[in-house]
Amino acid sequence: MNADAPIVETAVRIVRREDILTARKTVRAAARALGLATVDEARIVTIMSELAKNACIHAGAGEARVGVRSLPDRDQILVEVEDAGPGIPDVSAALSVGFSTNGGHGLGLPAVNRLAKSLIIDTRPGKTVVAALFESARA
Amino acid sequence: MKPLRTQYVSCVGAYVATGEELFLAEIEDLARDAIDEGKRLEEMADLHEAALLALVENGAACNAETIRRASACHAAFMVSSTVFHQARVDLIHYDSSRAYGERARQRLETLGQLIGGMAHEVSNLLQPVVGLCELSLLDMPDGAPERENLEIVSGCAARASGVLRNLLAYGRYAEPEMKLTAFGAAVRRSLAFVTSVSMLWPALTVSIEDERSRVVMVEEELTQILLNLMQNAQQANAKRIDISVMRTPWRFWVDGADGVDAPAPPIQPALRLAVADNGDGMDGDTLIRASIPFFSGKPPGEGSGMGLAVVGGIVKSFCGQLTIISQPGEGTTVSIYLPIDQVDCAAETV
Repeated sequence: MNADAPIVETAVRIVRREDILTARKTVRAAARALGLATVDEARIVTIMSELAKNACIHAGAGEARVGVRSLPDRDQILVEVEDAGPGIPDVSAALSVGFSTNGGHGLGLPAVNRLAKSLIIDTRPGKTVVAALFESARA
Repeated sequence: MKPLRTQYVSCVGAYVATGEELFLAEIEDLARDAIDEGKRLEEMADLHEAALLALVENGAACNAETIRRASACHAAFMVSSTVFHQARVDLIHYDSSRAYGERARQRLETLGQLIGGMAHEVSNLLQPVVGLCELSLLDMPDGAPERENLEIVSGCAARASGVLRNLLAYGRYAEPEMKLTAFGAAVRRSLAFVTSVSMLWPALTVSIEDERSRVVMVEEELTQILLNLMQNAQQANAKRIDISVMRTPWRFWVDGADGVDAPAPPIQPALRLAVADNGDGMDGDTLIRASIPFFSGKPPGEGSGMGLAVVGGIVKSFCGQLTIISQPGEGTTVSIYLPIDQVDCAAETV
């Protein structure tokens, strides 16, 4: 990444369902501030929504961080969600469609992987960080 | 539950009026549920029109903020439904390709087993061809007119054996390994397999005196020995077959050392496997030829004539010896003598 471009970061503690909405609002506000198209705004909010729900389901709580960086030709939003849960035992299985350890749809991470430009998962028991980078070319 | 259209119209109205994130989250859930219920994307095409008409009817202000919020609702619905629709499609492809892969794998496995079994059988049949060609060539004077033909037969059989060995090695049906095995127990296991192959065996009695003594052998080939001998008995109209394993001292004569001056080999501990039947039996002439490959006393179509020759070949490869006692009308007893492992013997004498 361009080291010259400043990163604006906001953090949201996620414990309850309302906190997921706050995290969504935070990333939506960041997208609006950058002037992203409405559909890109919906995409990045979906990413945040899925990651925050995962943290609530698997770890009971977590922290969502939103980083924003404006580059000359594009804007980047980094959504990072960290939790202190048991970790993802098999990352590639978690990224494949139809996988679920909680009996849900199991669409969360594959959906995020589809929407994000890149996805980094750092997981071990006690600490999992999922970082999704979203990029939008400037008109 | 309210219809999808009613719920969507209501959520859009609420979000345009309040700007609360909750309503956008609900719209995303609506889209996911609709896909889950199997709704097609085009069925949802006019949802947003209904929502906009409702906004006008309810007197929403016609300004940029209303348009922006209404569009956020539409985008939330479209992104959510598209993502989950795609996930569903992926899941269907994943399931069907997995099922196809599993079927293909099973077919290949069956085919592999079939080929492995055939290669093994044919490989066994080739052993006497190669061996007897070599023996005949040894006895044949140089320049004999048949010699060239026999050499071609021998060479071809040896090459065919090589091809089969490669095939077996490729399919991991590598040549069975000779192993030190408790013989009595192995006979029991082999009989369990052989008797399961057919329901039509003659009455069978089994007596195993020695379960523990070990001999060097290949268990799969022991099964083949028992299968061949029992088929012979069955085809000789036997009403019963008695199988026994007992310990006995035996003098293992070495091939080629049977001249007058050759010293007698020492007597050593051995196991005798006897397969005795009360079938038709054989006369002296038939008996002599019985171990020659392709000779058969049976009517055409009933036997390949390979049974005893194959048994003889396997016994030889186990460093054992074979005897046959038979008389017309008195049945046949085939005995196989195998040397007990010397380490086992030494352990017993300590």
